[in-house]
Amino acid sequence: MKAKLAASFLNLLLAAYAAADSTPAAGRYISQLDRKDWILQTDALHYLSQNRVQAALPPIRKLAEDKTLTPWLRGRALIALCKIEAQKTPPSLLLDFSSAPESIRRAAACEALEIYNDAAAKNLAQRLISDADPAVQYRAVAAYAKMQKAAAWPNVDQPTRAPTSALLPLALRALAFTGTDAALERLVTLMEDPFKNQGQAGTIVRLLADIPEPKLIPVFLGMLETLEQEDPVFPSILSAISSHQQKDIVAALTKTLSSNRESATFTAARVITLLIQAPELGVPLRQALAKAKEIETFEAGLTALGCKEMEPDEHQEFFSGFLDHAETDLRILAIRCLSHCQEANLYDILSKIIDDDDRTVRYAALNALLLAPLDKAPTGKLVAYLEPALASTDEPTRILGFQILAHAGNEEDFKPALTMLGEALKSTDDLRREAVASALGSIAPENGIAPVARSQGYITDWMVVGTFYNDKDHKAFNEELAPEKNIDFNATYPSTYVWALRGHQNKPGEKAIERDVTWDEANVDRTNGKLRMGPLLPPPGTFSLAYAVADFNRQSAQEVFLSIDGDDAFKVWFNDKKIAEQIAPYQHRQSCVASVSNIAITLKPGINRFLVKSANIGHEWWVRLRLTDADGKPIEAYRP
Amino acid sequence: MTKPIQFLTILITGLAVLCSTSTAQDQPTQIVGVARLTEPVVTAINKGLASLAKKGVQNADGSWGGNQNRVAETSLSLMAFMLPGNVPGRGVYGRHMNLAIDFLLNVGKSQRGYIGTANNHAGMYEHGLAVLALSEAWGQSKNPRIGSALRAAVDIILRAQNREGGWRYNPEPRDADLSMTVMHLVALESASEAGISVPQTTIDKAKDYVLSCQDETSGGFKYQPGGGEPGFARTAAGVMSLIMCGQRNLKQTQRGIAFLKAYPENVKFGKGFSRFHYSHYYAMQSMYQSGDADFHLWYPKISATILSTQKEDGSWNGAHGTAYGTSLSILILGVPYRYLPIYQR
Repeated sequence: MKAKLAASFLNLLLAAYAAADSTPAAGRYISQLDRKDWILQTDALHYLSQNRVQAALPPIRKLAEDKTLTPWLRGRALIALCKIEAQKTPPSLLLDFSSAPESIRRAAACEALEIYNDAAAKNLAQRLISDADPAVQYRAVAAYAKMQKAAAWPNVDQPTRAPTSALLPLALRALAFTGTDAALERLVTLMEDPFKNQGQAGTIVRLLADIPEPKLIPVFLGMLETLEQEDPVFPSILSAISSHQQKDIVAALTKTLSSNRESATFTAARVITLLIQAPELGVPLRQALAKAKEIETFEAGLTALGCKEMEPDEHQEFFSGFLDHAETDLRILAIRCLSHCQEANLYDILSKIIDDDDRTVRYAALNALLLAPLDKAPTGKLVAYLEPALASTDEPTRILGFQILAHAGNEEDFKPALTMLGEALKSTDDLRREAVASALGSIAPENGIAPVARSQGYITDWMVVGTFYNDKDHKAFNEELAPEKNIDFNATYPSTYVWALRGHQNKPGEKAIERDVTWDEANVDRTNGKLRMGPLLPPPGTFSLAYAVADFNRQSAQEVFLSIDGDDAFKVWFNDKKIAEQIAPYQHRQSCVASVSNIAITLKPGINRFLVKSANIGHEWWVRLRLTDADGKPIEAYRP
Repeated sequence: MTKPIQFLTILITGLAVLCSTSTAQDQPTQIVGVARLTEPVVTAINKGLASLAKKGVQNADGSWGGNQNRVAETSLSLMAFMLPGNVPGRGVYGRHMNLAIDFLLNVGKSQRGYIGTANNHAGMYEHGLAVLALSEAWGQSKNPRIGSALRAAVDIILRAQNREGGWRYNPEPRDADLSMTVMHLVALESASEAGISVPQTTIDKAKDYVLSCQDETSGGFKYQPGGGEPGFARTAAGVMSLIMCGQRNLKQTQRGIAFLKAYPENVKFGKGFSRFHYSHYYAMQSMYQSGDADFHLWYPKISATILSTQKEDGSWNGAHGTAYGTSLSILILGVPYRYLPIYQR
């Protein structure tokens, strides 16, 4: 018990040392070696050997020497130990294992032998090739082949002629290490059937993945040709390919692309997309695609060439060649590829396609324009360019048109846009009206916002005074303050305000601050017609109220309808008569919008006046008034 | 090419000030730029620096502070020393500064470029502060390792920017908040000034994130765009970062300044003000950058509060340690000194 405690304490110390000295996870994995669970122990051995955590050597050696453990786990410990030590010659513990009575430990010794390349290791491997157990023999052959490469052929030839199914992966590993053309030819022949039909694909890939032989890359590419991308082995093969040097992978892919096999082109394109976007593969891929017939191959090829790292500008013409293709998906893909070309003038290339009969193609083209460099946009002529989209009967097309106008347009486009779309601002279709207003708002000059809002019936020209102190119960909102008794734009009003940003009023020690406030001109600065109080009035705007007055002139009497909304509360008087009062229930840190629609009022000839008392507890603060006729069409109201 | 010029400018300015102070001993104030550093302020800064340099205060590894925020306290202390024109490797504090730079570089080296204290929740704050301090030191120090360490550290910041344009507690592009974003925006601006390549798109995205945190009603800044209340510290940080991005005249920046100015004086200049040092570190710089009128309105009041809280030994208490409180107090008081590029208008 004492010894166990001492050992654990030592491991804890080592863990602490490892944590300080190495990766943060090392300490945890060293502690994990103590767990009596072979899965956790193996997991720890794997991590510690991969990261060569020196501090882990004593506990790993202890595991390898522990006779109470299974031979398999001890074998794993030996391999981890050898990997971390990384000595030139096999340690004595490996020699012990090579003579162990259990074949599992002898096989582990063979596996560990792959780390070494000195004479002692070669001799030991040769001895183990004659082991009584075939599993040990084949492990030894593989280790020997790794050390001797082509020179190992005399020892590799015989055992790899017709290996049993169980020993096949090890035989393949030995052949791969040997690396001669004859060995690799045999490897391909041997693995063809088991790879496809006997469920050994995963094992074969795992045993070949760590062999740094570039000639294996075509073998892996050949494997990929036989698999669907969803196959669980697919990513393992990609990972195996990725462990090779880029120049070798590029060379192998170039060779594959010149094979004139369409399945090879398809596979190479997928590998380019998923693994290695090397621009020098662009031309070979394009040439291979010129001979392809299947839609699937074109899709894979376009996807690969369209990757930003593949320098898609080099293939612009190639992409454009698909814009008229009979297959819709290919047209869409070509548009997407073109949108990755920095030098392409998409506005020119797609000018006809934004009016395509196929709406999915249209959407792709319009979406591509949203990504196009702004300097290519036809400034001043954008509205004419987008006319088919802006006037489309298809709503998503129209919305995309508005978005492009907002994104790529500027003040030069505003007037033509207003001329073309102005009628939409008077629409009773609120969604369309708001989308158009938003687009126009994005390109409007400063003095263009209010006309857009006014065209929709919003009251835009105001006089504003504030802030006055209000509380959570809207005490001041319910009282009659000076500005509503007598509106005098030249008057100055004493006011107070309190900082209560955390929602607490009258915090201890917090004094009300006194100041004088006066009327100021204000205009709505958004095309949605909202009169935003915050930017107009002094901070903080919480627990505050303000007054807004709008005077406007009418030639004749008219019955109209008034809609009002605001955050948090409002009272509205029309020509000195109170016509509305609403308080939205307060919700902390949320918009609290009160609204009332279609109040019938009669405008009189001459000057008409709205007086609004607007209150805010917290968060957003705005108010908005809109006039419409009986049909819902907006009525414009101007300042006299 | 810019480095030698910057260094030379600093050196010449430093010499000029040294000359003027040594020949004008009868003057009660020292004029630095537009500001007058009164004798009590100069004395307080000198006492504060001396307290940081006192034997046993700086740790043997070159750091200041305890285990929790060692990188932050060291970065701020290093900046405090550089503020009045001290140069690493020279003069009374040259060794202290060299040691501090070595400490920051060693932390970065041991963590593949990341300079935050390991296992510190606010490690990314520290990383930003360290980048700021090392950027300011680069060009003044002869340490050849600063450049490569800065590049690695800046690379981590660039890679950790999230989709919205901001940063948060981990060096990975997940979420974002205003405080952390400002820290890294300022660090990147400083690194960029120092000659490290920082893509303009990164700065623009970060600036957009800061703007998205502005509260429309008050003009103050919130912790995150989605909600929360605007606060003084957040607003000071937001305003400062926008000014550093060249957005001083932006309407949103001006509204932020208005928010800071309108905030109740008895609260913001009070000794017990929450996040006092953090708030005023940014607020003071904002007011300095905002213009002479705002500066003259602000500086006398905040310096009076800070002078009144200095301890006998020259140090100040701070929410995150004595070195934190002392260095930030010095950095606030010494804003009119313009030896740090970040403090220049």
